[in-house]
Amino acid sequence: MIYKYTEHIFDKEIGSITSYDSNITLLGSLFTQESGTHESNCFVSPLRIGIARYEHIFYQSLPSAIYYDETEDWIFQAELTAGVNRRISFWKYNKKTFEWSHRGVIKTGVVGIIETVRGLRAVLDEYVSGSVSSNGSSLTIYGTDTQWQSSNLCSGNRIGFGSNTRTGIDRWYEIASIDSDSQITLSGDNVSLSSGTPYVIQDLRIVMSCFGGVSISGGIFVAKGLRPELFTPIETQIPSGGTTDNQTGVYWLKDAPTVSNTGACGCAIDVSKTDWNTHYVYVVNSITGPKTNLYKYNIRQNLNGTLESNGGSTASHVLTTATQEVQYAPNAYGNGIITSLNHGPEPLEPSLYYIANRGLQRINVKRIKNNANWTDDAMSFKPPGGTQTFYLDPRYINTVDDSGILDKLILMSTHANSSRSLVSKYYSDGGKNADGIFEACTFMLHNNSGGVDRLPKIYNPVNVSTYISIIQGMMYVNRTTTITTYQQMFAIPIGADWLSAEQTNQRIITPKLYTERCKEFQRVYVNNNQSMGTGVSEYPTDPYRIYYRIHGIDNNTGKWIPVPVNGIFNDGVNSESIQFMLEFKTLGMFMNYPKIYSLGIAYVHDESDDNLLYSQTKSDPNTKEYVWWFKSAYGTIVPELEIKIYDQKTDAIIFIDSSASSLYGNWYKSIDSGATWNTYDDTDLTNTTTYLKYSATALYDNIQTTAILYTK
Amino acid sequence: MSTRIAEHVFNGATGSISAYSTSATLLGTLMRQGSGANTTDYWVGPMPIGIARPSETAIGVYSGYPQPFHYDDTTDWIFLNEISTASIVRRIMLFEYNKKSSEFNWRGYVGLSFPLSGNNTVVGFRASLERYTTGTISANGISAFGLGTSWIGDGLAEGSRIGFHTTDYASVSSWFEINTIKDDTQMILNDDVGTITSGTAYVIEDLRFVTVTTNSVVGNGGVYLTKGINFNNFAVSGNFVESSSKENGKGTTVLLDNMATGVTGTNNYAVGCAIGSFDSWNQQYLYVLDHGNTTTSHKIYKYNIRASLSSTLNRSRSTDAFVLSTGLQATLVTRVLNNNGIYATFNHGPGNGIPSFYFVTTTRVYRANISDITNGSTTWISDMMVEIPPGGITTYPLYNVFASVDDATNIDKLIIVTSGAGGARSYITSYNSIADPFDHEFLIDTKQYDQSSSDSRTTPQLSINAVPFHIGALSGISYLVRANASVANNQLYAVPISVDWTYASITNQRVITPKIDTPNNNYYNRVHASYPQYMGIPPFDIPVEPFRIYYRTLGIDDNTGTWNMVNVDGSLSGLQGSTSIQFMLEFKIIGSTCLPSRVYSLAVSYEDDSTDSHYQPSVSHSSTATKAFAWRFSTAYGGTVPTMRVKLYDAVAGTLLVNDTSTGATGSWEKSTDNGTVWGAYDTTDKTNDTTYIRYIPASLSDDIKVKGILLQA
Repeated sequence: MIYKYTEHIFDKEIGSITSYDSNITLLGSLFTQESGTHESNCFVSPLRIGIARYEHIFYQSLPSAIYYDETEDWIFQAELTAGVNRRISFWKYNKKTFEWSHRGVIKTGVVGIIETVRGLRAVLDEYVSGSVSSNGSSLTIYGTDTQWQSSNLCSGNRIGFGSNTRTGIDRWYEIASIDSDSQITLSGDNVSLSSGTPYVIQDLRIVMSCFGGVSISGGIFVAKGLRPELFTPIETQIPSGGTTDNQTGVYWLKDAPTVSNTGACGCAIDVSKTDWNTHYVYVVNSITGPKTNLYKYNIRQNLNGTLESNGGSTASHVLTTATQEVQYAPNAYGNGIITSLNHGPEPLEPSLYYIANRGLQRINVKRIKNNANWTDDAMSFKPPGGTQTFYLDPRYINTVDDSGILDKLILMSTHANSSRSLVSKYYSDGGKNADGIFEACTFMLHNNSGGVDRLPKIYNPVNVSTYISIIQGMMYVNRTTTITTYQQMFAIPIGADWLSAEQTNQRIITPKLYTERCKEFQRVYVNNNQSMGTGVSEYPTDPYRIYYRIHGIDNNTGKWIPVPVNGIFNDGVNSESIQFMLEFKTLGMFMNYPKIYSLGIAYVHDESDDNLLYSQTKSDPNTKEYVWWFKSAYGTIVPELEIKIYDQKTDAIIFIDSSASSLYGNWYKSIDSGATWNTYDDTDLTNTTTYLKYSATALYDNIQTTAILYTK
Repeated sequence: MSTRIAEHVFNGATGSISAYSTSATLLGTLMRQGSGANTTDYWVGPMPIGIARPSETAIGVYSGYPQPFHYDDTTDWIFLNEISTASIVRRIMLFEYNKKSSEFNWRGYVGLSFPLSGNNTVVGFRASLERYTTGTISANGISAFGLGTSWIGDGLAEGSRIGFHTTDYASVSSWFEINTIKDDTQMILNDDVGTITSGTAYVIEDLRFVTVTTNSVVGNGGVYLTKGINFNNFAVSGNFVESSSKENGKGTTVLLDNMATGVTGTNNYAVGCAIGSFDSWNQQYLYVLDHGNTTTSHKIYKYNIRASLSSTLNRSRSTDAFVLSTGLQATLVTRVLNNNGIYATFNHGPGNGIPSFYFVTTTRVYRANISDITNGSTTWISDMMVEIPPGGITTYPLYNVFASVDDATNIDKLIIVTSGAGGARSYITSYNSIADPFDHEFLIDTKQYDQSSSDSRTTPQLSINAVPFHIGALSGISYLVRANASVANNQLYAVPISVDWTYASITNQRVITPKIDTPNNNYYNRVHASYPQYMGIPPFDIPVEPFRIYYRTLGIDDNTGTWNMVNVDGSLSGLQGSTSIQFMLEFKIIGSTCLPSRVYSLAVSYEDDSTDSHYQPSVSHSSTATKAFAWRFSTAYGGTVPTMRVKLYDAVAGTLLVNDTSTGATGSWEKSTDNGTVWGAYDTTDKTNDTTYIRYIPASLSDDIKVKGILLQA
């Protein structure tokens, strides 16, 4: 018996898993295939983890991520120490190279008192309605079917021409003023635009909830009229908005002339604006007692005519709920999200989720009403397997975010005492355990001197709180601590986790692998690194799992079947081709993803018995006679033999016939080198001139065939 | 040429790695081959981690301070003492550990009553197990008589057990408890042993325990020596042993350093103890570390636990065992208050070959030459080691929470356990006094509980759980108890620490496969391994530690070949084919999860010397008359045809007759693109139609022989 091996090495053509092709490797959007000069540089894996260091900038956190394009995400962070003119840091993350770049900083101030940022949201909206033109080369741009002013676009935003998608813009221009619904003025260089030119205006604004404990630091603050170019190493000062709305400035959204929203714990923002005049933000407010209430603001409310000299206005305030007593106060930072989960008590209903009472609270935003009570339901924090299986102190669950494509919530720990984080659907019945637990503190350092490059890029929380922002399956995790050694931010492709792979299609599919004359599959072998790092910093990789299919490969209709842990196939499974699919655990213990170098299948090759040797000289294709020399004895009577005739061109089996009951031909035996052919019998080898012959009677003419003879 | 694979599945014969064989899988002493009903039950790897739950036994005692003893190749004994809230009675637990099955068996417990009043908190616990076989014995009924024996003189204890007809304890079929030792040559047994003729060999198992405590009554803690307990006293229902006022009687005696100060002595601030080597039946020293009611100093009390106690023995108290105490010597913060101190001789560092006492403060490991532990000395500490994490403090932070130190055994390393506070990890390292970084950081806090009520899909794992471990190591197996007085966190684990790949060249803890045949091998491609990536069932999966593979193709039969490490991607690129190959595996266990991997099968893929897959033998265009060997060009290369090679074998003898290539050929190469009608010169143009054939006619070939021809890439 000969075992053959068909292998796929991951150094060949790739494509997107959304465009099925059985000839190439298909990757989910959160996977990569890399290449290099050495074989070990060629592999597939989930996107590698990128690490940014901010210890040399300033203490910052509460990341807010924006998906920009397939290559780039934007991440904004707030300065966390108390003070005036809190700074906002702007990072870009390249998802292809796994590299971070720090673009710069703006300073935001409005009231000039010491305050602490408790919540941060960055919002990027793009206005592309209508078209633009200019009178020759000019700074003045005219719009057709545009409503720039009534849509609350801001001077200081940027505009690009020639496309109505951001990726189609080659150059951006600063908007000096929004003159009317159909006229704007640029700053800098003139442009010359023909009528009907498409364009994009990027409206970037930063929303902050702050805490100083007094009315002059309460409410929320919105920096409008921003563009990426304002974020510079020299820290551009964004002034108070003053009495004119929709310009580059910071506006103070107040709930009342004397602000009562003084205990902000974060700010939750609707996933997208309702329209260009409506985009709601919700603030979970903590009151001594402990008590809690919620505030709702509209960050796209036009404030003109209501603004105070310091940019303050009550016009954005929508409502304040009733105040409710709670047993345990809401967590103070980064607390609250608005999202629509596709499960739970009210699937797809936008709801506010926030952490209080040592659990996760939920309320449908429709039921957040002025002066009304408001909690709908809650989820207690229980680890997988329950509290008999993992230690979990509910006080240590610190912040919540929506994983997005996984349709799960990420419940991040403070990591006090090396506590871990949870990933789970929202369970409001109070009895269900979370779906998964992830992270573990290895304490490996990634600061400058420790060597972000010297050590393997593996995430670990090192016992400090983390704040997160998740966008399109990428989780940006900030280790939030004043200890500079630990001040790093990680980019982790959690959306690639196997937990929801069926829904997300975050997988790797191999090309179709050919296994000609496969009699029986034996075992799948995968070559991958078992660990990352070396010596003192070597950590095991998180697992993956394998599926296979042998049907429906060409049209992607075949059902995937899990491969057992030892890769063994059930007896008798065989096919002329096979395909594999890989799923990975990216929300694991180490966030340390294996590199898959190759994957192959071992199988029993359909061969003639070793006792028999095909005789080319005595075979005759013209008479359709297939002859084997009886090379070695079986040691007993000859077992029942089968002959298998293959079409040489297609490797398809034409027929199988048996020496015990022949259907498609006749069997003969010769003990004199083929001089005389007698009736076949099962007597063992008697001399060296013994031959067996099969004469096919049911075989087309003019086809090229291969025959094998073997024990049935 | 096609890709073949040769595989070894770990379900065959095994042998010891110390007795080389090419036909069996060879295992280091701490390696195992599994078996069972399922294919996944067959594997090789380090012995699985065993787990016991002292707090979930019938008596439910929170336990720590493991003291392991080798019983035989299959079984270790592990004694534990209480870590529960202070009480008058302290219970010693006995677990048997089956090293073949990795399973613990709770044998039972013995309760100790102490001579002094008050509630005791155990801060140190050590056991000594020796076997006495001097002289011979005869017996009649319950009376036994020694010849050449010195049962009193050698301090044997009543209550110990005795076996007859052998001096090998493992061969004893029936044990009997000694009731009374009347003199050096006479003893009374509890049970009738019938008649045993004179000159019979025998063995007495001398088991004694030292329990060092602090006490709720100031001054009533101290050093308690318990003699005369035997294996059979450990029962599920328990047995209690009272204090003893009789020389070598069964029971507990308090060892005092000074009767003159009253009944308490001065060794009242003990934080741990260590037993020295067995010097004789009258001498084995105990070293008790004591902080002397200071926050920044330590001293040592030295006792002889085999000394006769009779001269001062009174009300279960004696000062006869006391040898000396040092003076207080300053140590750096902060003191550690229990399980502190070991006696060890390491073969490296400043204590190389020197019997030494090692102990910890939260930030230091201290070493004292045993010879420097002298009466009144205030300079008895030889040197110290500061905490420097592996890779230095730029790779891992300092934890500053050392809790204890132990000897890893077999690998000449110390295990430094932390308190686990905040998830602090522990260390395995050589000892140095020059601020070199430690060798390994190990363990991790996954917060997983391993109690019986935990989810059945979990796998036992040494999670720190913010709790220190107590460790007793023996012959490469470390017995770790998570020292916490809670059901959730009080478990005993058996972990084969010394199998770690770092020390494989010293310990030979490896797996070697049988010789794997690779017939018709042109060249090797890649090594493949089938193994689980994790233990436990998702979502309770925990990654296993890695293993590494070595290969050799030479010197397999006589075990002289050099091993070559396989690259991470398994590539054997450039390795010429051979008829066989052999693999060796080494495993990591000193890591984060400390879950050793296991391997189901190992395989090697290679290119064989069969006809290249782009060609198929053609019967119709081959000819015996002209000795032409023809092949149909069945599959295009997608480019220029590479240089081809023909090999002609004698089909009967298997010998190679012709080996010729398409460039610089000795025979004749031809090509036809019209189904063999016209044969022209051979070229390297790719397949153009379905009627393309090539053929080879050797320059010479004998007549009347059976020939097998193959075509492959050169």
